Amino acid sequence: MARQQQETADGGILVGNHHRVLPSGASVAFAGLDAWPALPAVAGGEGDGRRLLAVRTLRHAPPSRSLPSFIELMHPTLLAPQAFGGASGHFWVVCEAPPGPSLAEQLAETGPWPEQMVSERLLKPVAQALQRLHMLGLTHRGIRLSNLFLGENGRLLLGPGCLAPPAFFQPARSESPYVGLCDPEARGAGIAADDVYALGVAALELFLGRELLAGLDDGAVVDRKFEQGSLAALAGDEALPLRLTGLLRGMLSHDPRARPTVDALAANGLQSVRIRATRLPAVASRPLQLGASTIRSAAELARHLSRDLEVGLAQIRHPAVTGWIRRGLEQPDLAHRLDELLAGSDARPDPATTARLLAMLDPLAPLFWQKRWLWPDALPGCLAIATSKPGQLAAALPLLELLSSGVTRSWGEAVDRAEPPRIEELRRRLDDRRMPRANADRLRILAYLANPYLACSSPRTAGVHVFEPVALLLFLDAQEAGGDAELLDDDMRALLLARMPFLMAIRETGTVRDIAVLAAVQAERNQKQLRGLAALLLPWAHVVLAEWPGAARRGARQALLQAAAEAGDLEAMLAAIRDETALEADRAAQAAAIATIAALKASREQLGTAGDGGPQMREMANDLAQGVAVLALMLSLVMRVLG
Amino acid sequence: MPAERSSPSSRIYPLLWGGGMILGIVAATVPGGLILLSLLLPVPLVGLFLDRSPNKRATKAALTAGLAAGVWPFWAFWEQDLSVDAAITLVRQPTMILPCWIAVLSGWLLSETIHGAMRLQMRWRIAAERRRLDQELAALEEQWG
Repeated sequence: MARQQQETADGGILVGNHHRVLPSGASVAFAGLDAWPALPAVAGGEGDGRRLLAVRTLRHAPPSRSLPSFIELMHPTLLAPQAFGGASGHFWVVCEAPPGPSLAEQLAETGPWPEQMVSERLLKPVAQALQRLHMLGLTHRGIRLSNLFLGENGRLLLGPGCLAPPAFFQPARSESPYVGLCDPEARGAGIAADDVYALGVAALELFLGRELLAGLDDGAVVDRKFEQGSLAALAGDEALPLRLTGLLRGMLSHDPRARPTVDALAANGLQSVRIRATRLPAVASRPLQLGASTIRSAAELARHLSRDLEVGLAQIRHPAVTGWIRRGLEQPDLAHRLDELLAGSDARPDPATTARLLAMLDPLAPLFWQKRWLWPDALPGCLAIATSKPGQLAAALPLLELLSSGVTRSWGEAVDRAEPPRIEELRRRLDDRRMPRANADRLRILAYLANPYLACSSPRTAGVHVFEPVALLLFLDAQEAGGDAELLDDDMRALLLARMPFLMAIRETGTVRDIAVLAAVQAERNQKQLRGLAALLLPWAHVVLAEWPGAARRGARQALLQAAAEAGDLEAMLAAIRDETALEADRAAQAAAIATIAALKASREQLGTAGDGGPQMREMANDLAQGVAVLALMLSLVMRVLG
Repeated sequence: MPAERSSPSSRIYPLLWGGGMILGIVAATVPGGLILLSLLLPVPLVGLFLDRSPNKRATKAALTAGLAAGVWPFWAFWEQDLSVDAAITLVRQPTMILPCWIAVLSGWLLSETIHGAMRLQMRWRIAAERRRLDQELAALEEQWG
């Protein structure tokens, strides 16, 4: 699937090479996001009469990595994505357009649905669609009335739920209170039973013909569900048919194991759904009073602790609390295990112990980590949100600690939920010895690793949705040289290292590392002649070359570098500045030259002290004069003798 | 055991003693010769005392030069039977004595001239070598500095 950024001649945006969108017109709301009508890229080409919408995703909350699995997922009930790609500064997903307004918008007109209609038009077809998804290991996590549409002949259509982190747009009423406890990005893909719960809420809303728990904020909805049970909280005083009540009691059970399977729903709808009997949580006849809170169950005690951890942890050490668990709740095993756990921990337990403690008290609850409830499979979404917000990186460090500490695995074992394979893989990547040591860098890389469609969070790419190495290369290629404090900033580097992990093997530092990374991306992705990027790199490369020994040799390398930059060949530029063999040879030559310079200076010093030749020279002159005088004496004698 | 180095004064004493003995013999046997020597020797003797060099080589060269010029008066003195009259006649002729003094001075001057020339030549050679070293250093420092 091509994901190149291109614009069409009429100012439209080409998404995925085959679809064109004109985002200048009015947008419509679809699947919680803004969307614009999309057309086949070539007029008359491959159009099959289906109306299409191009949905613009949120920059900080990108689709999960399972998005490609939803593409062309052929099912009559699913409005499946058709294509996706980055274009014109955003990430787009082209979907089949809904036939009209959502059920939430039509509810006033359609009124309550009869029980049989709920079964035949909603439960069965949506369960069949979910069967298809669950068979592929996917969950929908977007079942709500605002994402359900009425098609031709009253056929129901389910909008996509994969355009943002799982359950990101789900209102608390559509999710189990154990999901609603978590922030939107911390809900995770969940399990098939989570879709069943959301389907149950949609069924109840259609049957009653109104939005349930309207006007309550998410926290109040969750509290009410915990207090009354989901069905009672949602239905209130409404009288429900017996069969529907039985079904919804199962579908809206807080224990996912008690919910009916989609297979059963798809086959029988409202009828013949067998509800598995589950053991109800123990409720104490004599409540425990902790401060202003009245606690009736271990789950309530867990939530009480989570609200004020410091006070709660002090309270739970009191013998009265474990005594209440032992006798009031009649759970001596739990009391014993809590005693053991608390006996071996400090007065202020570490986050891992706290997580274990809360998991013991309420095994159905999500993981509690550093004052926050989250499902471990939601880590990618949490990382995306945390690293996308400027200045929030420090606040996201607990996520890194959560992954590296292995708590997700131990918590999974404690509550009998297998650790998601993706999280296990992320931890393995985090343990990679090639990963940078700085936590901030590790966090950034982890966020991009976990979210393939997460845009680069660099302030320099603020106006564009750059999520692929090639896109970043092309973005940099279009930049003007100069002005930046560094060649690649931390976010850009993290994006490249995450998307192409082999780049972590590059051992250089500073500018050379950045050029090596960019050159490797160019070579790997076969991007030739990046003259703009080469011009951007050139001043940085010149700074590196300024350290090269030997003016003439440096000059030759600068000429090579210039030629490579003009050709837009980053690898050749790298070769010009990073040639270890030549550098060693030139360093050796420099060392020899330095030794020669020292010797020459010493010789010059010696010349300075040579002076006037000293006494030896005088003796030599005198000897010479003596010789001449002797010669003259002999000559004089000879001349006199000869007369 | 290392040989003791003789001091300048210890080396001059044999010369002085030898000279004194020769003078004594000359005065006893050839009194006219003493007259000649009394006029010829003062200049070299002054040189001998002024020369502070250890081996008095400049003075020796001056003496040798003076001796070369002294061949003529002494030859004439010999031919006139070494008499006192002959000696007096000779010392009264400036053309006989003056060249000896000039020769002594010339010997010393030659010694100094040769020394000066050698020093000049050496300085020129050092300057040339320094220029060569400077050029070489400048080239190396430009390339590797």
